[in-house]
Amino acid sequence: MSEKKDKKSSVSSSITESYGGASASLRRSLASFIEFWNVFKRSAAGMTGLILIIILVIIAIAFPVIGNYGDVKNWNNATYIAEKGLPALAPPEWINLISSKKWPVTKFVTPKEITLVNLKNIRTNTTVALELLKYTNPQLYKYLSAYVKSIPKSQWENNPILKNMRKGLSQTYGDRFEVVVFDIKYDYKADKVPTDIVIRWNQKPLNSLLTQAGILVIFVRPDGLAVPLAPLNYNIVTKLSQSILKNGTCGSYCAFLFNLNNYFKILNAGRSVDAWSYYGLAIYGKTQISKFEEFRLSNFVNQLSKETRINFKLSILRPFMEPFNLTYSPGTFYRFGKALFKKMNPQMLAGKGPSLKGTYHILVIELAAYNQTKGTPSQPPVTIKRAIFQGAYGILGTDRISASSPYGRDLWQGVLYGTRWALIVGLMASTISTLIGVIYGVISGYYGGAIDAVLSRLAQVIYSLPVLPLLILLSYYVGRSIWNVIVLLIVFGWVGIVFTVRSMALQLRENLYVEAARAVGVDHGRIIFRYIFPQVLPYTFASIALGVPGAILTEAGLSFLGLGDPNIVTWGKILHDAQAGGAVLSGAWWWVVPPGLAIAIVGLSFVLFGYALDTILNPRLRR
Amino acid sequence: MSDGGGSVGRTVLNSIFNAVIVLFFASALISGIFVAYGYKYLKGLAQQEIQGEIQSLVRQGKPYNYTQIKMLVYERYGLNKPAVYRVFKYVKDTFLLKFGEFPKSPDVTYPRGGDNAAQVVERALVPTIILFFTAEIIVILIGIYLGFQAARRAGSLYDKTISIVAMLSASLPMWWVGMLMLYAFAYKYKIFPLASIDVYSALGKLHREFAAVLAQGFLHNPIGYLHYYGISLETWLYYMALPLVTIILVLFGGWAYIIRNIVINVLTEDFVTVLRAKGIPERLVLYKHVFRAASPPLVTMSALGLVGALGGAIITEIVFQWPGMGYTYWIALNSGDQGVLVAQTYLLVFLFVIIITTLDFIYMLLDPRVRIGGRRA
Repeated sequence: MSEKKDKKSSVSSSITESYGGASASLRRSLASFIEFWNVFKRSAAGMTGLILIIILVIIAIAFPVIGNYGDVKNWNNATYIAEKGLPALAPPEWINLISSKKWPVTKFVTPKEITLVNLKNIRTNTTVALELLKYTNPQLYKYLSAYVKSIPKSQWENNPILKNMRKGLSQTYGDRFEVVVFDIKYDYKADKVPTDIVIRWNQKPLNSLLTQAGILVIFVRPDGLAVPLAPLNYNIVTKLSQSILKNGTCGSYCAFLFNLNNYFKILNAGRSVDAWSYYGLAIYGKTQISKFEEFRLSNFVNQLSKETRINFKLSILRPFMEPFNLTYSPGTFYRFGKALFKKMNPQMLAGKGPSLKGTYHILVIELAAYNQTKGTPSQPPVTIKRAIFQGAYGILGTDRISASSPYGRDLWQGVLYGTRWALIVGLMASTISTLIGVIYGVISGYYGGAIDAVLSRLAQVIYSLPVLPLLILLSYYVGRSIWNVIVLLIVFGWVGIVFTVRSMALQLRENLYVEAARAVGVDHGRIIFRYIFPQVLPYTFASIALGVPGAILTEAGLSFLGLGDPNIVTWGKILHDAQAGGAVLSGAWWWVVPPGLAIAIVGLSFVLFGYALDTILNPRLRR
Repeated sequence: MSDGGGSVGRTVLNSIFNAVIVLFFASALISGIFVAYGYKYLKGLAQQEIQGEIQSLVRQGKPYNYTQIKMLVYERYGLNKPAVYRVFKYVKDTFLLKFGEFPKSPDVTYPRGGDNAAQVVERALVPTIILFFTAEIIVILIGIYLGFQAARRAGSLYDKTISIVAMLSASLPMWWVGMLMLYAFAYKYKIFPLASIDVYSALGKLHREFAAVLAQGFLHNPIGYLHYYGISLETWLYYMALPLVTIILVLFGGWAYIIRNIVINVLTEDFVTVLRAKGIPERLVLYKHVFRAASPPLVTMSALGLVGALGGAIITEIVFQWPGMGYTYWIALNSGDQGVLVAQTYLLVFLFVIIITTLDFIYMLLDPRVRIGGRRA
C-alpha cells in the first residue's frame, strides 16, 4: 500500500522529486501515527501515563514562572538562606487541615509593620542623674538621698555637690539618653506554640558621640503580663509596657528604664564577672556590632536549661511562678518558650495547658546614651530588619540545612525543580542508551558470524556486571557532576535491550526485501538504517519509556549516597539531606514523603505509558 | 542468554568462561580506577604509617632511618613501583579475593570493626546476606503464590490489582519506602528500633548472659538452649523486621507479576489442555505440571530480579543502619576510605556474578532441552 502511494506522489510531482518523496513519507508516518493513536487512546493506563508526563514536562519547562529560581540556584548558599530566614523543619501550612492541634503559620513582620511607639530624649538633669546613681552606686545614692531631701528641688541644678555628681555621671554615660520602643505585634490563634521567634537587628558601632547603646526585649502577653527577657522586675515591666502600649509613652515608669547600667554593662563591658551580663551577652549579641545580629528565643531557652546563673533564670521565670507560689528547683528543664504562649496555669512551665490566644507584643526597647558635646544624633542607632514568628510554612514545609542550623529551605521549590532534572536524567540516559543498544543489536544480528559472536560476548560481559556498585565507585572518582552521572548511566544501561533487538534483527534479515536489497547491491549501512532499523524502532519507543524510571531511580540512589551533583537540586539530593539531617528522627515526614512520591509518580507515568506502548507496538506481544 | 548449543558440559564451561571474563574485566576496571585516582589516598596512608613507625621507634629509644622506613612502607603499598605494576598487583589481588591487600584508613571505624579492608568487607557481607536472602526467599514464596493465583484468574480484579501493585512498586525507591517505614514504626509508633546497628552488640550481650547455659552443652540443658535460641531469634527479628518488611513490600508485586506472565504463557501450551481434558484437578495441574514447565524461565527471571534488587537493598541498609555492605558503603564514602570502597565494590561484583552463574547452572539442570543435550531456546 505504501509502495503505491510512493509511486503516485512521485508521478504527481516529478519536478521536485525529493520534496514530493519527503511529503509522502511524512504523510505515511502521519497515517501510521493516527492509526497508532486510535489504538493508544483506548488504553486508560497509557493515557493516564501520557497526561502525567505532559504535566511533568510543563512543570519542568515552566519552573521559572511557577517557582522561585533564586531558591534553587542558592540551594547551598548559606548567606542567601540566612537572609531569607525561613524556619527549620517547618511543617507545611496545610498541616492544620489534618492536625487536630493547630500550628501557627510562619509570620514575617517587616519594618513597615513595626511601630515606633515612644521616642524620648532625656537630658541628664539631676533627677535622671539621681536615678542613675540609684543603680550604679547604691551606697552613694543612699548617702546622697538624705542630703538631697534636705535641699528644695528648685536649688538642685545649682547645688555644687549635685552638679559635680551630674558631671561625673555625664562623663561616664553621656549627657543625653534616648529611648526608642519598637512594637512588634503578633496575632496568635494556634494550639501549638511558635517553634522560634527571631528578631534581626542592627546596631551602629559606638563612637565618641554614641557612647552606649543596646536593646532590651520585653514580651507582652494578651493577658497583660509582661515577661522581661532580662533580669528586671516583671511587675514594673508589666506596668511599663501597659503605659507604652496605651499611652504611647513610658510615663512615670521612664525612670525605671534608667536601670540601664546593667544593660550597658552587658553590651559594652564584654564578659564581665556579673552573672547577668554573661546571659545578656549571649542573648543580646556582641558589643559594637556592625552587621545584623539576631535575637532568638530558642537561644534564650537554651541558656535557661543550664544549671548556672540561677538568679537570672529566676528573674525570668518568676512571672510564671509567683502567681502559683511555685519555687525554683535546679535541674528541672523549664519549657520557657512554650510557657510564654500558655494560659496561666501551674504547669505552664512544663509547657502544658491550653494556649493563650490573642495579640502579643514584643517590645524591643532601644537604649542609647550620647555625648552631646560631640554633635547631634540623626537616627536611632538600632534598626530592626524583621521579626519572624516561626511555625508551619509553605506548601511542602522546610528542611534544615544542618543539624545545628536554625534555617531551612522551601521544599516546595526543591521538589518542583527536581522534576526538571529527573526528566533530563531519565529521558537522556534512557533514550541514548536505548538507541546505542538498538544499533548495536541490529548490527550484531544483521552481520551474524564472527562479528555477532564478538559483539554478543562483549554485550554479555557488560550485561553480567552489576551496575550499582560500579556506578558508586565510578561516580565517587569521576567528579560530582550530573552529566557524569548521565554518561555513566548510558555506559552501563545500553546493553539491556541488545539481546532482544539482536534476535529481532536475526529474523528480519531473512525477510525477502532485505535479501532483495542485498542482491541489488545496496550497501549494509543503508540496509541496516533504512530497512531493519525502522522495523525495530517502535519497540525502541517502548523501551525508552520503560527505561526512564530505572535511570531516575539509579540517579536518585547515587544522590542519596551523596554522589550526586552538589550544585543541582534533585529529589535524590533532598532525600540524602533528609537522611543525613535526621529527618525521620525529627519526625519531619514532609521532608521525606514528597521527593520520594515525586520519583514514584514520574516512574509510574513512564511505566504506564511504556507498557501501553509495548502492548501496541511490540510485535512479540501482538498475537 | 547463551548462544551456544550442545551438551551440558559445554554450556557449563561457557558460563564459567563468561563469569571469569566478567570478573577479570571488573577487577581490571576497578583496579585501574583505584590506581589512577587513589594515589593521594595511598600516599596519605603510607605517610601516616611512616609517622607511626617512627614514633614507636622513638618511644623505644631506638635509632631510625627515615629513608629506610619510607622505602619499606612504600614497598608494602607498591608506591615505589610504576602505576602499571600497581594495576597488575590489584588485579591479581582482587581476582584471588585477597582483600587484605587493600588498605583501610586507621581513622575510620566500621559498625562491626575490622583492622583491614578484608575484615571490614567480610564482616559486612554476613548481615547483608542474612537480610537479603531471607527477604528474597519470602518474596519468591509470596510471588509464586500470588502469581499463580493471578494467572489462574487472568483479567479479574485480583489480577489487575497485582499488575497495579507491580507497576507502582517498580517505580518506588526501596530506600525511600524504608524511610517511611522507619517513620511509621520506629518514630511514630515505637515498635521497632530507629537504628539496627546494635544488632550484633545485642546478640553478644545475650551470648554473655547465657554463657553459663551454653557451657553446659545442649544435651544437658536443652530447655536453656532452646530458650537462648528463641531469644536470639527474637533479637534478630526485632532489629531486622523493618528492613526485611521493606524489601518484601517493594519486591513482591513485581515478582508476582513476572510469575503471572510466565504462568500465563505456560497455560496456553497444549499439554495443559491435555491435562485438563484428562480431568486432572486444577490445583495439581498448576502446582505440579505448570510449575515444572515454568521453573526454567522463573530461575532466569530470579537471577535478574536478585541482581536488580540487591542494589536497592544495599542502599536501604543505610536507612536502617543495618551493619551490612550498604552501611559500610555509606561510611566509606563519607569518610573517603577508598581501600574499603574498592574492596567492597569488587566483593559485590563477585557476589553478583556468582549468583548469576549459579542460577545459570540451576537453569540448565531444570531445562530438559539443555539437560538432554538439545538446543537451548
